[in-house]
Amino acid sequence: MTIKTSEKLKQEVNSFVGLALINIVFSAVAMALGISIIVPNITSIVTTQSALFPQIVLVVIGFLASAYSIKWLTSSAEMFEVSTELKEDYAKNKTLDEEAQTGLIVKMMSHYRKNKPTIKKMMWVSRIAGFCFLISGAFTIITAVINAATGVQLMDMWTQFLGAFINFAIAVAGFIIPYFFGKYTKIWDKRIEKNAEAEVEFRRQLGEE
Amino acid sequence: MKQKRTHYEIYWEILTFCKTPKSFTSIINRCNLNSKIGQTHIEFLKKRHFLAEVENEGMTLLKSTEQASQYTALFNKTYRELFDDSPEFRL
Repeated sequence: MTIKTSEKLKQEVNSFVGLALINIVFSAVAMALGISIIVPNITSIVTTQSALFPQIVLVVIGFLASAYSIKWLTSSAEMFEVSTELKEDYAKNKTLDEEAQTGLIVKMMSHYRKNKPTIKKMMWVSRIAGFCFLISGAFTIITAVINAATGVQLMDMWTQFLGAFINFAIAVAGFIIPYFFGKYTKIWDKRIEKNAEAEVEFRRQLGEE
Repeated sequence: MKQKRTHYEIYWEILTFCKTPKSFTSIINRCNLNSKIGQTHIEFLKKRHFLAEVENEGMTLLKSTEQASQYTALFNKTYRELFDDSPEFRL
């Protein structure tokens, strides 16, 4: 049981670190991409002193995507801090006797209790950011198709398709990452629920009943 | 980073740490408690005879008792079981 628990702890801590890392990378890329949607369009509007409808739409989407990506990034940073702290704890007690294992489980559980609202918020924020990039990608494709129909150079069209592809990739990440965090919360919610049942026995042991 | 522990978890941390005699200050530092809350928890455990005072070189230290080992054993078993018996989180 000790080896099984230790292996499972190692696996879970590593998976959580991996998820937190993927999350922070994609949220940072999302934020950068959001800004990169805004800047050229704003520059173009300012330079030409006129705004086309697609430019206005992209600026609005870019602002929304950036705002949600920043929120996504800050929540991701908190999760990453927690995950590295747990990993350090595991590394400190690599032999992990029974007590050290329980200590790590207690720590994981207490971190989950504390960070559950942040995780829930992050799941929604990344979905919204993902949705913004989905719209942005779709809008870029529509613009590219219209441009192609009106005889825009092929090189520009491919650049637009590449841009749309990157938008879709971030959108997919924005939807997939919450799925894994959902899996994580489901498992820990179940553990917390079971733990609440076990507290009856602790109360009895402590003579509180 | 701050954590959110139940008082059962805090009791377990105190009792495990006090397997060898420890001072009040080292307990509250190790278990990340403020002195007021630490005092309340320690008083509770002393009242239940889970912690006992021992004298060491003129200092009063706290040590967990035999009675406490039943609680810590139950706690270890329960937490490890609830972790082992639930599905594993994998990416």
